[in-house]
Amino acid sequence: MPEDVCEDKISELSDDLLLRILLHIPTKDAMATMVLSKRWRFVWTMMPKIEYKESKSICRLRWPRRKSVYWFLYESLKLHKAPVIDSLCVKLGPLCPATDVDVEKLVAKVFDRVVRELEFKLLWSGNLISLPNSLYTCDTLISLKLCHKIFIDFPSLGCLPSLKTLCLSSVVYKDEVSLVRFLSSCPVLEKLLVKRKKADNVAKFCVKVPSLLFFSYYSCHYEYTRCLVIDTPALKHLSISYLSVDHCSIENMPCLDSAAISFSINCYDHDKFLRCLSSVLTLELCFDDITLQCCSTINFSRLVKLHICPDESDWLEPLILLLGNSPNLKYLLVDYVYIDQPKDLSLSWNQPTSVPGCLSCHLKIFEWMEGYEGRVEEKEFVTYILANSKCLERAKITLRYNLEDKQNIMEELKSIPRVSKASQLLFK
Amino acid sequence: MSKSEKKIVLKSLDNEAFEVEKAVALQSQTIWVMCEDKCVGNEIPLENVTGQILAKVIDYCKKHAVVDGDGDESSEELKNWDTEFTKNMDQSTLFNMILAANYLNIKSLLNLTCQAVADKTKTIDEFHTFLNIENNFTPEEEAQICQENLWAFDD
Repeated sequence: MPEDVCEDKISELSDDLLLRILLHIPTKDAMATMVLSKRWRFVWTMMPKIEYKESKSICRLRWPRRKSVYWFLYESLKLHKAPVIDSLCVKLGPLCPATDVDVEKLVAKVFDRVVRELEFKLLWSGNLISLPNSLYTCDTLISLKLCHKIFIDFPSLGCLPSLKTLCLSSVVYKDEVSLVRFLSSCPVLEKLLVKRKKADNVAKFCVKVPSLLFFSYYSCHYEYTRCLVIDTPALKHLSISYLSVDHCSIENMPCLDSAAISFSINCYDHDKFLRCLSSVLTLELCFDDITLQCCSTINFSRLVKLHICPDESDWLEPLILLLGNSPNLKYLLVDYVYIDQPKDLSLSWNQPTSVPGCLSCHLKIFEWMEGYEGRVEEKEFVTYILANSKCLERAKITLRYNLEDKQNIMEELKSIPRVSKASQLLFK
Repeated sequence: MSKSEKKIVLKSLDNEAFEVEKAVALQSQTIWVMCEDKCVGNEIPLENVTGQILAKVIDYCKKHAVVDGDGDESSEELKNWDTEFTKNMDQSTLFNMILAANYLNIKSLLNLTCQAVADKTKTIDEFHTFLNIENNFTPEEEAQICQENLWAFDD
């Protein structure tokens, strides 16, 4: 072996580069490098990114089995010296004894420095905890994620002037006022992710954030009737997933580029809700009966990409009406993701009297993403699309996975005349 | 653009010349700045990188110039290529690659090579063996560090 291979070259690197290597090592292992040699004794104390995660599976080096990660967290933060913490992630699991943990003391340790990103995930079985006020007045914080056993009591003088990303996942709020105060104290907030699971003391979830660009809302609980109010005039991306009986009201969003609405939505005014989405370029929509009725009268003048997920509805004819109102559509995707038994779906098809403009002038890609069975109505619909889409480049059809007669159905589809001679027909 | 303008010559510390496409070389922020300044001709001297290492850096840049921006499949392929690329590098080569990536300011390569060092050193013992880091603490000093920082070495 050549001599230079045996030398310790890595230790010659600058602190900056050594820290870059440590970034790729789990925090606990990175901190243990203090015993490597004198060169490495204090390098770890300047690590800009630290993650404390209580998990049995991440037992790479010498993860504590008996003692909670909290001890490790607290002791290491006493010695950690980096004046700027780019990212701090604390995930305390069920092994962490809640009685040991003084979160106030912990947060105070961190918030006398510059902190840019903080993630706090409390999965223990203990009580909810409040976070100290110093967190809610931090002027350097750019991203904040709070998850699970956290009680949000936003102080009246709180302000997060740099906060751009906020994630509130399964937390509990003191009351609606606290939530409203929180959101109105983030003047540059761009991205908001909300996940609600259990009772969280908020019946009316009000999001009134003028700077907001991205909003994702997920709510899953059947027991509670909740209300979601969205007043975000600058919003570009909206994603809503419901599993509960939420009611939604929405204000105009003229800049909206994309919207993904899964599951059926309860609205006081369904038509208004969908009209607020009418400026979108891309739309993913759960196509239930009410949505179908409303959509056929709304003009989606900018819509380029439509991804519909029929939900036990007779969707073929309403879709043609929607296509008629989407003059610039280039991509059409049909997805049977919500449908277990396509056979039980009642479908009807009558040849439309006039051809939607987007078919004659724009539609390039048509995709049936799941569950095509070759039923008469389905086939007639596909025949219609292929016969009228003059600019079509590609049609891709995914047959239902357990179909018996796949080969025949494919042959049948191949024999359908395509007006766009250059188009390809693909199967999956 | 004429053919000659599209090419650029990189010259290593040990005077090895490599002719490469400009698009390949410009992944290096350092070279990009040099070209913007127009104070260099078509030949760029790189005083901190040997020919042996520069050849590897160029391989990396060529691969990433071709595939960048294509769909999922190619990004998966690129990832596999990256893994293969660093898999058999010894610590001396990795060390020089880190220095070169840092000097040439190619963020993704710096990230990849630092990751490769991290991947090869999963335990303190591996740090000592793969990186040949000599423990220059006396046994007493080492025991004291462990004693004072029980939190870090608790099993």
